[in-house]
Amino acid sequence: MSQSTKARPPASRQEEIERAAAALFRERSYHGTSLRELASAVGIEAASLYNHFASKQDLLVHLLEKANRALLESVREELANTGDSPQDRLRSAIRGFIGYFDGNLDMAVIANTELRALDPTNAFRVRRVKDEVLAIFTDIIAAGVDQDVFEVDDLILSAVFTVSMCSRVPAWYVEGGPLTLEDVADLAAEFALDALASYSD
Amino acid sequence: MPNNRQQQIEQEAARLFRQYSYHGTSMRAIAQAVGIEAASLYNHFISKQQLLDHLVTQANQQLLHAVQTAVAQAGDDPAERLRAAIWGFVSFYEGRVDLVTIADTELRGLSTQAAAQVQTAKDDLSSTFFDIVQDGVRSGVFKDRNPKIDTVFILGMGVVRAGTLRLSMWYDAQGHLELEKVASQMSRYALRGLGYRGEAA
Repeated sequence: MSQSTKARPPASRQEEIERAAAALFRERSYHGTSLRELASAVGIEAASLYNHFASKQDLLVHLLEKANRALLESVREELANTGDSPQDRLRSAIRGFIGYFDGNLDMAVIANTELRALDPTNAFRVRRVKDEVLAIFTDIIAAGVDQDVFEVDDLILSAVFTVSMCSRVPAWYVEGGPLTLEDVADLAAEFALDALASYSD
Repeated sequence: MPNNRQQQIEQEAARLFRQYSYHGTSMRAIAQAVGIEAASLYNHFISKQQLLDHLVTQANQQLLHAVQTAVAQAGDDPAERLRAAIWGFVSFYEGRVDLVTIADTELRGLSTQAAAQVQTAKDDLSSTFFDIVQDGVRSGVFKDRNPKIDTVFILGMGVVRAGTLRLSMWYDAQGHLELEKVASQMSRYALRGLGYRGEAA
């Protein structure tokens, strides 16, 4: 979450389509949105959409893969610039996770809700990216347990709870409210660090 | 096995709505899954809309009731009450994975009236958890960080239950859902995340 107001270059047509699709899928669901509605939201002919995507399914898998990869990258970027302690790493991973939501709330919501609308092969591809995110959290917590700074009964469940808490944020977060996403990330990190802390710590 | 036709319809509809979404499921597909004529389906529900409204409203109200009942039996201690609330929440999943999933994912298709009823049940559920967190903060056993946000973190840990349960299915070669384990780990994580240092965590 290094910069909260990202300077974005003028949106390309492709990007415009992606953003409009994410907003519509969030509002009406994938199945409830037609390509015609999408085209009219962007202000182009439905036929022109096919210059960008082979099908609605192709568009969806592209969006979900992109969203999950961007989230993974955001987590990795934060981790690349942090200390070695498991506490610092966990805090950074959470900041990277929640930081991704900045400017990407629609994408982040559909990344969770429209997974089931993917064909099995596509769903598998997207799940692999999600699993990588979970693996990063699992590794950090495992390192903390090894170094006696974290104490857990069940490593995987602890990682799942941490990730779940973060991935639910776009479902309730309202832009322009009293808390910034950085505030939310800090609160989530406090909560997770307390939840995992070794008692002797 | 469902003990009557109505229940059988509800079960199949929930399964199909979960898998293909409300918009992606036809009444004909539901009838086919139950093994009846589409026309007979209309003896039970006058429309797909009514079926969805019924399922999602009922699921949210029953979940709320399960949590409130569990909390009412738990005594005064905030930690005990939180553990009971989480148990009520997680155990409601038993035999109802499809239903609980659509109770969260199919809100967009609801009629205005059903949407209002569902929102009330969801708000009451949040308040039930929030009251417990606030109680714990007042009595000094939970940290006073941001009780509202801490409450959504706890609910978030639970709301991505489907993913968690998929994991717990991995764990157990028999495919049996270890709900008690998930609930007790979730309670531990939540209580410690709130800074609770009593024995119970």
